Amino acid sequence: MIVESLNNAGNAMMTFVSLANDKAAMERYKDQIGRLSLLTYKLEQLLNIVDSIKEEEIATITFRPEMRDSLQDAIDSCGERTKDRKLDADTVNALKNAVESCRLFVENAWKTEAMPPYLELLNSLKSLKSLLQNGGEVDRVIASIEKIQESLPQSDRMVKNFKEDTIRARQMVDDLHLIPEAEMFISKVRLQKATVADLYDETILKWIKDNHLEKQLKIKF
Amino acid sequence: MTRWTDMADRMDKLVIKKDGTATDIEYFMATHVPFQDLEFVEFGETESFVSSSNLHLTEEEIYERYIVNKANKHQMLIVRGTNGTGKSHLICWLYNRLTADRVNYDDSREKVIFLRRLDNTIRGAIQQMLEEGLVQETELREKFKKFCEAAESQDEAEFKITIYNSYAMRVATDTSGQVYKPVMCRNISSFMHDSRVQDYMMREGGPIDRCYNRINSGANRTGDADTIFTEKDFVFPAEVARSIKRDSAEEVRGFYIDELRDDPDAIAKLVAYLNKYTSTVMQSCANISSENARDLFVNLRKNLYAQGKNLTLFIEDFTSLSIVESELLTALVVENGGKYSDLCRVSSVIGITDGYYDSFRDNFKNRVTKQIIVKEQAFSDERFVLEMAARYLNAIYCSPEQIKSWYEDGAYQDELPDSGFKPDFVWDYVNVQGRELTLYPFNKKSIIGLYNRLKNKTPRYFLEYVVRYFFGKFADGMEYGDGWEFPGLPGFIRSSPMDGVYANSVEKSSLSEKDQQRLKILLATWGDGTSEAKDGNVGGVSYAFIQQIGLGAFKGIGGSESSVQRGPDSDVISGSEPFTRAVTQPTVKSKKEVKFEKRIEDIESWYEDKKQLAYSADYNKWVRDFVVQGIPWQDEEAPGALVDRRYKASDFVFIEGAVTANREEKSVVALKRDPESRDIITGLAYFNYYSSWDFKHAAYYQMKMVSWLEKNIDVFKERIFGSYLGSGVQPIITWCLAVEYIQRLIMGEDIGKLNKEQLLSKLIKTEPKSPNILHRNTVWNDTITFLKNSNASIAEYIRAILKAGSNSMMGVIGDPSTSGAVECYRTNELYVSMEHLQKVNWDLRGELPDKGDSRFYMQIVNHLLNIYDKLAHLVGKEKKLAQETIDSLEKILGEKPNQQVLINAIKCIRSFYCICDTAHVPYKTELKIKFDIKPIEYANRVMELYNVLDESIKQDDMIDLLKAYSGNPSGELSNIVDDLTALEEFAQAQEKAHKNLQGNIEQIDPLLVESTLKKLGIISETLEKLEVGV
Amino acid sequence: MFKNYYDRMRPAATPERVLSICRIVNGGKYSANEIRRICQLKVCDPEDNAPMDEAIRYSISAAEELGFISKDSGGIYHFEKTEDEISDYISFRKTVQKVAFVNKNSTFFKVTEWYIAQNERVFAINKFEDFSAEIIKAGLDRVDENDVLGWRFWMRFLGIAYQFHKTLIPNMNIRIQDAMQEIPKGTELTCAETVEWIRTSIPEAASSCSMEGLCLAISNGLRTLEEEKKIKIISTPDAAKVGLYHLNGVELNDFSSIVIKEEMYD
Repeated sequence: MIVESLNNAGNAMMTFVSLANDKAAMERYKDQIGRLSLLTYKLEQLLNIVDSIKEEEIATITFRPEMRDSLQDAIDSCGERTKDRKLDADTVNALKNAVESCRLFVENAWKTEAMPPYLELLNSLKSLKSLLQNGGEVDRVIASIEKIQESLPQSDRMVKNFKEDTIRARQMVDDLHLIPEAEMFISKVRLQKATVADLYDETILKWIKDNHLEKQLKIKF
Repeated sequence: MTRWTDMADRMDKLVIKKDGTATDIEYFMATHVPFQDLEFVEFGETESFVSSSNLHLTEEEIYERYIVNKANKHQMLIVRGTNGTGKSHLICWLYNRLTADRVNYDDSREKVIFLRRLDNTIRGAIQQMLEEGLVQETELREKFKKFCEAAESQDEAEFKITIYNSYAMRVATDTSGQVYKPVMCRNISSFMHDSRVQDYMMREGGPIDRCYNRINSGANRTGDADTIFTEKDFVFPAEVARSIKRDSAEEVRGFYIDELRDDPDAIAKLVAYLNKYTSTVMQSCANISSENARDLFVNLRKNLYAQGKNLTLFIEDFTSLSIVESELLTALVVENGGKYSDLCRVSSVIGITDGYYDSFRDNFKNRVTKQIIVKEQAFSDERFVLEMAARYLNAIYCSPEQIKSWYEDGAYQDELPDSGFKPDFVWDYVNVQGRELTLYPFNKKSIIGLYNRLKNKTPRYFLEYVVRYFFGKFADGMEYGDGWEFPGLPGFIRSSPMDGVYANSVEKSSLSEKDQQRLKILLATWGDGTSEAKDGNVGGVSYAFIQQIGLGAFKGIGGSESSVQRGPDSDVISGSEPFTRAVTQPTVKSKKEVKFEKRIEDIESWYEDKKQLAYSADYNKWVRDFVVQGIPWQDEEAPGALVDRRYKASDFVFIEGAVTANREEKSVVALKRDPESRDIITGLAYFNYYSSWDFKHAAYYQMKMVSWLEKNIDVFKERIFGSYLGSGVQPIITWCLAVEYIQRLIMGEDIGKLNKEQLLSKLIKTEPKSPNILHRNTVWNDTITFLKNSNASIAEYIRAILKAGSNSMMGVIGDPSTSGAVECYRTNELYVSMEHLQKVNWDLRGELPDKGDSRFYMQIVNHLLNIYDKLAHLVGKEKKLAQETIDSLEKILGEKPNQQVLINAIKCIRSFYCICDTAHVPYKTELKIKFDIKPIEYANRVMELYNVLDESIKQDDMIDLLKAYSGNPSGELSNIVDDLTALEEFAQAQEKAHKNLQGNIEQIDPLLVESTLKKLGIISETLEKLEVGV
Repeated sequence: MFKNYYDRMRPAATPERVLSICRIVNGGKYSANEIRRICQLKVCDPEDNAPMDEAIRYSISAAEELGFISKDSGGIYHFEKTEDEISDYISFRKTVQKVAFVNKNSTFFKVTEWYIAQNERVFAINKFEDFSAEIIKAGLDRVDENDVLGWRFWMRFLGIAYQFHKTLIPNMNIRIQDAMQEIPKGTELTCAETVEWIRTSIPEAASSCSMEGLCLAISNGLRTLEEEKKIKIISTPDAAKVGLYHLNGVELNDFSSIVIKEEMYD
């Protein structure tokens, strides 16, 4: 049918024309969509992490309302612009900033609020490391916890892992049946301030004999 | 009453002898007509022969002065004349005159010998001399006898050998070296003597045989000697040649192989050489050497002299003697006195044919003393001929006894017997010696007329071919009363016709064809050429006579008024006066007259003698002109232009028995060999000669010609037009209109919707347009090619006929000044034709003839039928194409077209092109232009074409279809469809191309966009639920 | 051509054309110019403004003079005779004969009458200008060669003479036949009746035919008719006779009666 063919052809041509005309815009749009997509992913991840931290009972991070609002706004305007095909860098940047602030806040909160309780444990573990039988694992746990401490976990999986590591660490420490005198003695050892005098404490000697640590400890001048 | 057979018998045996022997002397004398005018020349010279200075003597004068020869001088009188002129007659008469002359002839002193032709050999002469007792002396007589016997007793074989040896001997003894060197001569002689060669030469029919016969027959002239030996004689047959090569002596072989064989020049030389000896050989071999016979004659003359007698010798025809014999006769005629003083005087009268005289002269030049020349004039005036006829008839009618006794009584002319025979009605006679001798059954007119028409006008011919011939037939008819052949002309007498207008009256009579012929000859030759009955005569011939010869059923026509006759006179000689007017010499005739006479003769011999008509080209032309001019064709609704064309084409007239080979079935006019045609052609011949009707009997010929024309007009019209000549409308014109109309439609002229006036004007007054359409329909194209090329000439011819044939013509057809230049068409006829054509919708197939007499209109018919045939194929195919075109249009439009659809389509197309412009897409302008048309116009045009084609599919009538298709609507619509198709293809290509291009632009994955948006949505929800705090 | 008084006889008005025009006018009423246009097939030619053609004008005139068409006061011609009279050339011819030879004052009649009376005297004439010279010498109207050319077309058509090259052969068989159609089949006319009949029915020959004898044109016409077996010429020995123009070579040069036979009728 010729009319049909002509129409199709016309459309195709027009499409092409308009496409050709919007190419630059299209490029930009495409870029932004890519960025946006990425950002959305990041944000999603972030929120998942926050959620996961809460679920793992590590901590509860609460956003400030203004943060939430700015995120929301940014998201809304991104959504609109996307639909309009007018998504531009500024809009995405706005979101990006909002997400970044959010992320910083959350990281900060992790570092400052979530972590400290676990520092002690970490120290314990570290000082007891030599006393522990499964040195490798101890090392791993230590490393893992240390790492996470430094920055925000990237995924909720990592959060989960952290939680498990801490539990394991506790376990390990607990395994050591640490009495307070032992604990003090370990600390001194750690500081190389432990003397044989300390050994006159029978509880400490017993503790060393119970945990098989006789050979682990060395005497020094 | 003597019986006619007896008289005929008498004639054959005595009067005009059938066997050609000499007439008996009494009859000779009875029928001899005295020579009145003989030309006489002294001496033998011919150079001085000038008629006016010579004497003219009567026979009696010659006799008295020269035959009687009172001075007793030796003389030789030559009598010359062409054959049959009567010289032998004269000699015979002189002889008889002498011997009967009691006064002057003394047979004791004068011996007379008459050597007649029949006896003309030396042998015969000598025999005669013996018998007539010329030779008294015994010893001489013995010699004479021996001579005769000896001459007869030659053995043929010996004779031939003698001849041959004679040749050979002469060759052998030829030492002259003139032709061949002596050595060669001897070789030739040996060659001749070789047995094989000799046998061959002596074969029957060979040269020696010929020579022998020649010698014996006695008919010889110098010329004949040259052909004794011929070239052929030396071209030996194969076995002779082989035999020579094998067995002959060396010099013979050598001569034959080296000199003679296969060399025509050498053979010719030898032949000529041998032939040179012929005369001497013949002389010597005749066993009558010159010496021998000459001796006899000399002795005879001596003898006679001794007896005191003289010799007069009459030789009737010297020419019939052989050389040999003529040589010998010199002995006889040599003058006495001087050396030959003991020889008697000889006076000779010798008849010689003119042609021979020249060679004779050489021998005897000096001896000839006088010449008598017998010429036609001497005997050919009317008086002479009439008298001769009368005498001969009289001799026939008389009894032999009457003649004989008259002769015995001295044969005096004034005592000539009169048979007394006469018919019992008035009849012509001739006064001879005071007697009225009847000419019955001839009359003066017939005698003179028949004589004049002889090819050779000599007494001998006259007697034989006129008197004897006719009398014989007459006697036969009179005797038996039936089976009449008299008077029928023998072939050697030219016929002379009756006066043309009267011939008809004979032909219409109840006589049989044979009798009609006889009567016509009688009336023409005996009578005055007419057939008018008057005073007991018919055509001037006694009716009683006509009855006698069995033609009495014809009584002639009454036409008793004497009308003024113009033209050549016809002399009616009746009555009895002799008249001496000499036969008129023909005056010099003009070329035109000669031509005219030839044609009259031609017509006569064509009709009477059934000969071929030689000048038929002329007659055809005259008859054609007469027919074509005499009928007012165009005034009788026979289109002048068409007649004119037929007139100018060939084969208009056919004449039976003509030398030109027109074919009867193709001709318009067919003349049979009958009296009517004869009269018509004769009348036209007269008109042609006189260039007007101012001649005798013109009114008669006019009447005949017009009657013939009127009787045959319908036939002529039919031969030209067949049965297709109409009143008020001309079928042939109708056919031409159909041809022109259909052809033009085929060629694409837009004439389908014209009214009859417009159409006529177009078809007749304009030239057809040459088409420039190339149809998709190959059959159509082929038809156009056919019309333009192979049949261009017939198409042009038909167009010319249409135009000229429907226009009036002023003038007489066949007259060059006639033209159809003025336009004044027989329009009403054309209207009637048109109405008819429109009624049958131009399909004339049901009414065209499938065959016809005239190729002239059959060409038109065949062409038209051919066109119909082609048309049927053409429209059949076109219809299919129409259907295809419609289908393709519908296909491309995607639906049945209507105005709106098309308008939309155009709009769509135009906006498409706008888009192309916008998109900077290049396109073919020439295609675009085709759509640059107001949509409504485009739609209308397409719909018009479509409708025409669509409707045509439902039609069957060939012509209607042709009209519909003539402008090539399917071609045009096909083109439109093609354009649309091209455009569609272009659009499709563009769509594809652009889609491809689109693909190259990096597209946003719509799914990505979608999922992003979705995610944003989810996050948004999540945020909303998010606890917030300080 | 046929006017009632001295008239020229223009050649252009031939019988063919006159008949054609009669048929045209029979089909409708037309002015002279319209007739011209029809004759020239220019009816549909809007640009045609050619002048009247001589041939057409004279032919129209002749048709009018013969009474086939007449002109009204507006110059429009209409047909005055019946369709039968122009259905074919024979009917046309007979109708013309009835008119053309009635008017003894017309040049046409006079020249025809003169010609018939000449008998053989015209035989020597073989040019048309000689005809006109003779006519003038005879004291008739002034007639030139052109007139003779026109006149002879009608002579041929009406059956008085036949043309051959530039001569005219007098023979009135067609004219007689046409006129005899009115005599009942089988009638035997005595010679006196024949002469009388000729004098009334063939007026142009009246002055050349009498009891003394018939002129050449009529005599040969009768002879031709006899050859065609359309009449029988009888010459009874003792009856009163009238002479035919004498011809040598024919059976009869006079007659006592004529019988009209069946073959005479068309």
